[in-house]
Amino acid sequence: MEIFQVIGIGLIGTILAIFVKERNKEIAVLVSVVTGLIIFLFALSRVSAVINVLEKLAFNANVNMFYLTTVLKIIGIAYIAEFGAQVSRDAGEVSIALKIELAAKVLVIVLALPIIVAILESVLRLIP
Amino acid sequence: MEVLKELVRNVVIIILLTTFLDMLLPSGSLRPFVKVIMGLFVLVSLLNPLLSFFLNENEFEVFAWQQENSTAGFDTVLADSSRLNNVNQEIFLRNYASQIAVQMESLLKLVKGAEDINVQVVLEGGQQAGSLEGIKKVTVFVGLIKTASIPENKGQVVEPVKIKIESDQPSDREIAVENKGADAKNSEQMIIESEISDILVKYFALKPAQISVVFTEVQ
Repeated sequence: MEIFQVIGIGLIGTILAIFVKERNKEIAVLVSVVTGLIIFLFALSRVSAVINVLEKLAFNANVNMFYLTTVLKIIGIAYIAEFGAQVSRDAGEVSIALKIELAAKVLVIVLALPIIVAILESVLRLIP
Repeated sequence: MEVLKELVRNVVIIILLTTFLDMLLPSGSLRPFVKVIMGLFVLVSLLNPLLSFFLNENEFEVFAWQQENSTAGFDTVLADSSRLNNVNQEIFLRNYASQIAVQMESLLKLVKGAEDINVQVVLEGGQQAGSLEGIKKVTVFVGLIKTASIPENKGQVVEPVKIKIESDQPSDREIAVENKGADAKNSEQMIIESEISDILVKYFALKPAQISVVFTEVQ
């Protein structure tokens, strides 16, 4: 069961971080970052199956694949930004976490621009 | 109907798709942002087929759908049209044939010996109403004047003469003389027939095989 592996890695990382935190805070942060990265990469390796199913669904529904790819990119940006922000918060750098979130929001908006333009054009075509 | 069915199917799949995507969303401060973008994605996916439907970009599908429902009515209209076409064609051919027959009768009155002329014309019509491929057959009924009917003041009628020759078989001689009279009559009919045929061939561009002449006797 893969979930036990994830839980095991998470628990080991947590115990290590607790023990190390008393002696060296910087190492403890590194331990938590590495643990989080391992779990994150493990989860990502399974996401490809989900994305394949979503792409098939979108193809069946005659959805423009450009829009689906954009949405998936936005979700990916959100995940990575959340991960980075959480690591920054764990390290006590809340302001950096906020900056990461801000950058992620801007990037999300930039990526969403084609969708917004498409909606505006559709509405303008409906109301001449 | 097919268009609507496809639209509904696509909407259902899009909603399912976005539900799965929603489950994938991170639970941080970025979640509302990504949810808004996903809402826009759903809107675009729904608007595009609706727009193409309303702005007649899918003309082929729309016309196919409309035609499917109106096929029965269209067939009925076509059948009625064909029936009316046939009726019109029959009326046209009948009228035109009678006009041609009158013209032919007027022309054939010039033929000597033909007293009462009655012409029947059979036309060959085309597929369309009012179209004519030509004259199929012409039958001319000719009334021949009997010799007895000639008035007395025109002169004395010469009676057929029977010449009796002394021989072993007198009856054969009499028959021979009478047959000569019948041959004369046939030759007169042949002359009239050829004249009629010539006139019709000349004025109506007919082939002699299309013309048949029937002789009747008039009192």
